[in-house]
Amino acid sequence: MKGLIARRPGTNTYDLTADGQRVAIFYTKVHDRLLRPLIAADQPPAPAELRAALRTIDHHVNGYTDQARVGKAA
Amino acid sequence: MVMSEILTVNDVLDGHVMLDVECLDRIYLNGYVPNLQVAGQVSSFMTAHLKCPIPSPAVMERIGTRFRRAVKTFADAEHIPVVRFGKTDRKQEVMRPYLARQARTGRAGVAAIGVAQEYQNVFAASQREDRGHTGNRVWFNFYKADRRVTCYYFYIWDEDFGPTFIKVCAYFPYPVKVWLNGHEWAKRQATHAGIGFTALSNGFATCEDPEGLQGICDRLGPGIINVFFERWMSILPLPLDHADRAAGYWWELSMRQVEVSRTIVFDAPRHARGFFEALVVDNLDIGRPESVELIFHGPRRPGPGRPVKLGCVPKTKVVTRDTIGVTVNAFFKSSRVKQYLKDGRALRVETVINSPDDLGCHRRLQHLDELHAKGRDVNRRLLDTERVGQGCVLASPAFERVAQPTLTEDGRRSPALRFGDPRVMALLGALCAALNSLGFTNRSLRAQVNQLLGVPTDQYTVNQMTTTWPDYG
Repeated sequence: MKGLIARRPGTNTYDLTADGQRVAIFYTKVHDRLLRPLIAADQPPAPAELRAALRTIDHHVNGYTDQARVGKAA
Repeated sequence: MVMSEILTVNDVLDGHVMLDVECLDRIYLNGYVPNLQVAGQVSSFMTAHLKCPIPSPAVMERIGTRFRRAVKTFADAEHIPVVRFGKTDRKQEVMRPYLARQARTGRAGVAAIGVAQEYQNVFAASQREDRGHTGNRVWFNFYKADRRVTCYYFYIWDEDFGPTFIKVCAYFPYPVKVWLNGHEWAKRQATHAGIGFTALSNGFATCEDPEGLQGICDRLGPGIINVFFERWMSILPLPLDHADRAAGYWWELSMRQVEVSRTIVFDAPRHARGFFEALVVDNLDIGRPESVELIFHGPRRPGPGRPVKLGCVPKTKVVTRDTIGVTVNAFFKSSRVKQYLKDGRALRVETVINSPDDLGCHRRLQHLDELHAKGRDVNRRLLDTERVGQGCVLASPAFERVAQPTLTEDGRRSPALRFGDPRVMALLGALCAALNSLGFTNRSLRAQVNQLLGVPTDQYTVNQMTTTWPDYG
């Protein structure tokens, strides 16, 4: 199974391999503790500085879009 | 306090190397006539050997004119194109099509003759006012000076060495330069020996017999180069002839520039660039005096002794070019060691020795083997010295195996475990909880997955779990 678990011979019991251990821990940690909070970082409880920085990015991207005159459909 | 172990690049590369080849790369040689190096030798060449009563620049002019005429006759007779190099021309680029054409014929031969005006250290003469000791004859002083003179570049396609050139200066004492490439030689020898390989630009990407290939590369030495040199010196027009040779006036070779390279080809080339750039960032200090001395000379022996004089400002130079990306250079005296990513898939380390003295070797070609061995040591010590940080990772195959569809041992398709897919995240979360020595079963794991997915037990069935992991069940 993609090298993540290994069956104990003669049983229906499985063990995590070393690769499996790392994949399981870091997939879930990165997903739950980094990606999900960062994707939702425009709303509380994300830190105010982060929300302000995202607003700044948004403001500048809008500025470029307006200057390039591609913002609205003709 | 726990000291963390310092990892070197060798530790990281362990298990990630497809091919590791050490080979001489560029070999640039000086040809000089040993007994025409000082003014007295010039006089005795003209008087004792050529039987000229007065050693004079007119004799030099006569030999030079004869040589130029011989080159023209040779080119006409063999139908060899003669190309005059411009001031800013890149000679190798100008000659590339001619060499390619000669290579296509499959026969060794002179592809083209390049003519250039270059500054060379030659003998100049001035008339002595006191008319010498006889008082009534014209008498000349000879002295070495840099003069802009004609040089002929014989671009050759050789059966053993591939593209090469021999440059002959048309002015006394007729210095010669020889350019060869060790990788080109090794490629031809591998082909002759029936060893299959694929080439990198100037190197090897894969080889079906790495040990055999390394054996070939180890064989390149002064004997083979001398055979090449003698072969072509007997074919090309030259300013010195057989009579001069019989009298002991002939060229010997010494090392002007030698590049000793090591090419390490990665098994996962798409991660090579990230790995290499992180390696560069972690090792910007290799040009510091203490590091560079260690790389070029190894650890200093204990006990008294004068420290090595560097003779240069120690520095690391990072050069970025579009064609080959980042190159890191560490300088030592007039030599340097450079490191770059070759064709995006191999780590290339090259010690460029501009003066064999830098490594404690003599210059004559017979000492090439000793210089070669010392150059390889420099390459090895560079890799031993380089530390790696957390960024220097050649990716683990586990991540790709997980993130892409694969086939199981019995040929069934195992879908990718997509990052972010709720079922996948629940499954891996359940595996985190299964980190214990008792192991887990399908049933116990499914209960955990259900809990994390927040669905009743009957909505995530054995079948669904088996679809996610075909081996499991």
